[in-house]
Amino acid sequence: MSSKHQIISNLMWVEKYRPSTLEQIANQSDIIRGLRNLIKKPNEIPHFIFAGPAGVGKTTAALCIAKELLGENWRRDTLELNASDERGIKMVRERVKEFAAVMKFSSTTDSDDKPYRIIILDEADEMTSEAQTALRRIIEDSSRTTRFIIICNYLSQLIEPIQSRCVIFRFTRLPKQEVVDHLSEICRQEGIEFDVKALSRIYDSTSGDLRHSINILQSAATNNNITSEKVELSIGLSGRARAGEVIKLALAGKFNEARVLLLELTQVFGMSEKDFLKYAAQEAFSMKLSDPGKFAELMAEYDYRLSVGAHADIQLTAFLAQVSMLGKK
Amino acid sequence: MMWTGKYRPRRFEELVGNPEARSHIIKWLNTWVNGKRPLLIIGPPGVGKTSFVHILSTEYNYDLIEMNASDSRTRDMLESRILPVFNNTSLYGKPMLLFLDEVDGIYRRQDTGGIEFLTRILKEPTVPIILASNSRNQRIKELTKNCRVIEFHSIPLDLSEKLLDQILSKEGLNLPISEKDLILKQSHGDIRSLLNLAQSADAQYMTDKEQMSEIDIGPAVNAFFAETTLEGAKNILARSDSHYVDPRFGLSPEDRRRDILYAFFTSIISSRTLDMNTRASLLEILSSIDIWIGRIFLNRNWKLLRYLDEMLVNRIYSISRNKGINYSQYSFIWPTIMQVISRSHGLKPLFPILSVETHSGNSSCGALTLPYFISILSEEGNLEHILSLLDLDQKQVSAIAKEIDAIQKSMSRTRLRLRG
Repeated sequence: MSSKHQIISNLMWVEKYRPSTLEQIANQSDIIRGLRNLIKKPNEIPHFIFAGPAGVGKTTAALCIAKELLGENWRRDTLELNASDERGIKMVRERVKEFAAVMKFSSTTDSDDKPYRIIILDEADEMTSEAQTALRRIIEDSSRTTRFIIICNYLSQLIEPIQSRCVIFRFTRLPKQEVVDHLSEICRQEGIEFDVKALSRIYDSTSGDLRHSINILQSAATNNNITSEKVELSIGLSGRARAGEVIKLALAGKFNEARVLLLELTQVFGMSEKDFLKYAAQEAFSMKLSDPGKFAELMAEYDYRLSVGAHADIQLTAFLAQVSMLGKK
Repeated sequence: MMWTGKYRPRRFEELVGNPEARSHIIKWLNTWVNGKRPLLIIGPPGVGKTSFVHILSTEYNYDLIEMNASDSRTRDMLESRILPVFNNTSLYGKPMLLFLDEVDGIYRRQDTGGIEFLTRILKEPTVPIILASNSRNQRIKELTKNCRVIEFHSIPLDLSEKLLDQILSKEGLNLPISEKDLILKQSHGDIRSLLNLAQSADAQYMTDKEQMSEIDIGPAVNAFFAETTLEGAKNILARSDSHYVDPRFGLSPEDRRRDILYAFFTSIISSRTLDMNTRASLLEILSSIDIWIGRIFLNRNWKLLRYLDEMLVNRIYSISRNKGINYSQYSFIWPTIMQVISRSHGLKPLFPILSVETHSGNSSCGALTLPYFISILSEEGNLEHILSLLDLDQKQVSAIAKEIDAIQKSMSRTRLRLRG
């Protein structure tokens, strides 16, 4: 284990309480049972696709499988890639192929214990279809030495040939009770006093995203207790909440303030323009809007324009100008 | 008459620029003795090298023997012209000055033996020799070795502008500022080119603007929003030094600057006088044109580019008249940009560490983990120690500490808002 890893997991509860075996993963028992069966015979395991919303355990399940199959050197033999960071065909060709080829070479020397390596490809639905087509070839070419675990939010965004080469698991949104129980358990272990109402508020603000929930929990847990007020403040810290603030500012006609906050989110916090719209939508739909239908249509329009247009900042600025107009009415 | 001839300087006072280099040369000539090293003037075109030498010879009463690129400069040719000069220091009783202009234009193949001959005579000159060249290229390396080099530089903008104003007033002309800016920019401190451009601007300003060369993006955007006819606005766009580009495929800063859609965007967004309606409508138009740009570049469907100017001008023209829109290169004011750059620079080293260790992509890490990491870190006692364990250096640590401070402040603001 790297020392950085040690420090981050001492510091951050998300890492400290990240399950290290499949059985510890919250509320995905059907999936866990299925995975268990499939990895019984290490030589016969297929490629996987894990699809589902954020923070329900997809990446954790992939890491658990890697640990279980590859043993203590799992970090060395696992390549974790995030498709949204290194988008495009180049990433697939270079990084994946490189790793697969190196592994093929070294597998001839210690082939006895581990016949393959694992590539975890996160946010694969962010990849262009060209990149996915290239990925398909690479999956085929390297299948003797490499297993892929492809993670995505929307299965429909993956091209059919990739879907057909993998065993697909659909992760579902975690129920409220599950998340609240999980958060309570962390509080007990950390010796933090809490009230259930505050924990349930965390769930509501994250749409059941466990990673986000634990982060809110930890930053609210000052002086060994958690109050609703502290939770509220902590919720407000997230990029998601601040994307909501951008919308509120625009609706209030504070167009330039909205732009400056958006600039901060994209430039300082590295939020992608796509994610901005995603978070803005999540937040806006829980606001009291005068014409929610119109607002949703506006968001859909500019979400589309952002995906086909050339200049992301022109699109988002035009969007904010339209939101300002909506607020005026 | 060509203005370059009409306004060629005839006296020292009429020369513009490079005063120090000129006085060096005058001093060199006045103290010239037999065998003194020849002088090589190196400088870009149109900065007055030739004019200066001409004036020098008349003002100091020298007989100027001049050879330039238009003369054949083979060994035989040079010998027949130069040797008599070397042997008879005075043809008509005047001292002689040998001027070899455009020496970088002597080609080894065509001007057989020319360079070798010159190199030889440069070593033992019996008359003052001045050479001039635009560059120090490989061909004239031999010549530079035997000469004292004096450099002439491009004429600074303020001097060019003064000269242009003088000439325009002599001609009784009144060019618009955008036109003048263009001439100054395109001439790059080359007076000859400035004179040519001014003369042709004069001619074309009266007849056909279309023929005029490109207008820089800033003046073009200003002129576009100030133009009072649709045709005029189209003209300006057509003549502007701009293009349509898709930043998703990578841009140099210069490409970015010449991006016409982005220039319209930054200018519109920086205009404080626009009302909400107009701003929203203009941005909507840019947004819908941007979709076309995205499609064109993604599918390499270049032939569709021809529609963009028409779309842009016709849709934007009527609602952008008299709105006081001026060119701006940036979409935010500088203090805002600087602050964001410095903060993003400060936090940048955390991203690779945090996103790898928390198994998340940059964007979701920045949105859902980084703010909490910072908040959690600020609760820890020895923040600097922890950060240094993550292989961050002192500068990075203090940048992150600053950001933590900012976040705490914003948290207390939120707290106040919640209570209020």
